[in-house]
Amino acid sequence: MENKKRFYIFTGKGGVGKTTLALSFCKFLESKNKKYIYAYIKNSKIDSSSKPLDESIHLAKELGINTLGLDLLDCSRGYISKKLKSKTIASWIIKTPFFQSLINMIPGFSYVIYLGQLLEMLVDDPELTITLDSPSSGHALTMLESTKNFNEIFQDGTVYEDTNKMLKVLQANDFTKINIITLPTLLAIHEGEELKESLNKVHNFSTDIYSNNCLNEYLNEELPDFLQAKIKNEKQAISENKEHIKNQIAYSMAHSSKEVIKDLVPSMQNLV
Amino acid sequence: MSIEARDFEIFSGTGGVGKTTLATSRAIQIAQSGKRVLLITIDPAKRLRELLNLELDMAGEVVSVEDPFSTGEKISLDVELMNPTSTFERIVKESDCEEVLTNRILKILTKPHGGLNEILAIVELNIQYKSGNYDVIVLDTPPGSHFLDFLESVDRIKLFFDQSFIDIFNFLGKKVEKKSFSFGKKMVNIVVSTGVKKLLGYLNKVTGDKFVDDFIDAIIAIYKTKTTFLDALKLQDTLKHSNHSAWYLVTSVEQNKLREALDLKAHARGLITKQSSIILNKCIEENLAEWTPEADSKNFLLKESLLNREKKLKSDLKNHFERILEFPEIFNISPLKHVEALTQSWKQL
Repeated sequence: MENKKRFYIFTGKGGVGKTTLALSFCKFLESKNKKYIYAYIKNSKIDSSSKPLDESIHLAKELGINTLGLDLLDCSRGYISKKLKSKTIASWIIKTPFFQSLINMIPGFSYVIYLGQLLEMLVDDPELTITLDSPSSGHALTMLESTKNFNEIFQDGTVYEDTNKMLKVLQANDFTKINIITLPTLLAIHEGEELKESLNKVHNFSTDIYSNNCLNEYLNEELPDFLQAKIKNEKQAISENKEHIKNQIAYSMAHSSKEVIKDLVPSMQNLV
Repeated sequence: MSIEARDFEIFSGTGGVGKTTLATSRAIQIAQSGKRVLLITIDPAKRLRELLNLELDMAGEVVSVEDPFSTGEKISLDVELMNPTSTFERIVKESDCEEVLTNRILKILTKPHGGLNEILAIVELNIQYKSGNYDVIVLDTPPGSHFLDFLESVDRIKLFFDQSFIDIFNFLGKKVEKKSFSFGKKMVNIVVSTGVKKLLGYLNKVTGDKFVDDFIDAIIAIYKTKTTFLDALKLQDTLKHSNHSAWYLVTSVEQNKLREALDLKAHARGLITKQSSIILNKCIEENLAEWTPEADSKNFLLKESLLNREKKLKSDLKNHFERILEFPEIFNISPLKHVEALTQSWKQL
């Protein structure tokens, strides 16, 4: 694998197949004998009564993928106890209603905590590659922007130094790769391009756009008119934006999500 | 015959399924029936702008779209791309404490991607509802679990104003509450030097002095806007009532997101029920049925694959929802044409 990065963020408009591709990408890393982790946000709520959406973890388990579910409570406790050098105080702090309601009101803060944990793991283990199944478009931006925002908010002290460190790691050459997944429709492609532009305002990350679920290669003269029209629209949308789209990923005829993930493994080479 | 409009028409879904396009076409269809309609999108991706060819810098403003398809027939449709910065400005104006806007921390947090979108959205919705300017508000929500954040924002607001301030006032004593919040530097010192100091002391260690000062200012500033935030809590009852609100869960044939859709339903706190409508977008079953490719050819496999995908999804959905609304795939590249065609589909339901 040439030009391998350490931290792959899969993002894009909701429902474009981020999870499918992120999992397939992990299977690809596995096939290359790379040490990898599939990271997803397990619980972004401090109040544990609200359960997360569990589609991705279910699939990952079935496929035997190494997963790491990020839990806000655990991440916060870990961070605070490291800073104050006391687990007891950390547990006390995260239990105070004040802290709980505060962190619930400022969701960006949780993104910084999640990201911090992942970056620390990557720094600690130079062999490791992390694939992050990130929240959709606008929220992926919130995650990366939050780190910058909190850096501005704190201005001095330990958190400031930590966010500074995080930004340095994230922005290092050949460290972060952002894969924006989109569909072959104008709306979806434009959204991907907008996201890339906004991400670039945070930092000039290595970012590529991939169009998923393309029917292009199925085109032939015997297809009925509506399918020809559908594929023609697809091709037009892609060719109008071809300078922005790195690769197309073909529609998979496999019957289940699990089979689709396996089916796509070879084409994941393009996402490295 | 079309479906009767409620005060609130709320579109949620797994994302990438045509939620914004369907919400927009529904808003236009209701407006065409003579009602005054406001279409709000709280999806930070803001596809609505592209659908209706709106200007980039109109975020946060309410603009009128009188004739979306340029047919000469005018309708009463307003459109708003929610912008947390503008909503926060509105809140501050309502609470008559504009000085709050200068707080450094609040300024950063209320930026479009500052993370306060969902919480401010419920307040924005309430402000527009109370204005009495609209018969129907159509809401395009953020995808997936962020929709749940939106639903939970009510609880978060409640917890924040209840618990945080109860904590502070418990330490400070009741006297402070009677002082009608004329907080100044002196007050900041009281906060730091008394009660909450244990927590803030730890915070200080980690974050530095400057932050703790600004932070206390921010908390006090937010507290001044309490009434506006708490007023928005009342909206929850209206949203729960089926006479006032219609909930649509949108999914699409192109993405098999059944499990995610069911997860959303399960965690939507009883707002999405078996009686809510599930919308299945981009159906091509009828088109496919007319196609007879040669048996065992590659095209035959493609047809079977596409057909099975749709049939299976439909039968799964029937087990979980009483009402499935099917919308056809529109074979046109223009987003506006999609809206136009779907507006017709809404009329024919």
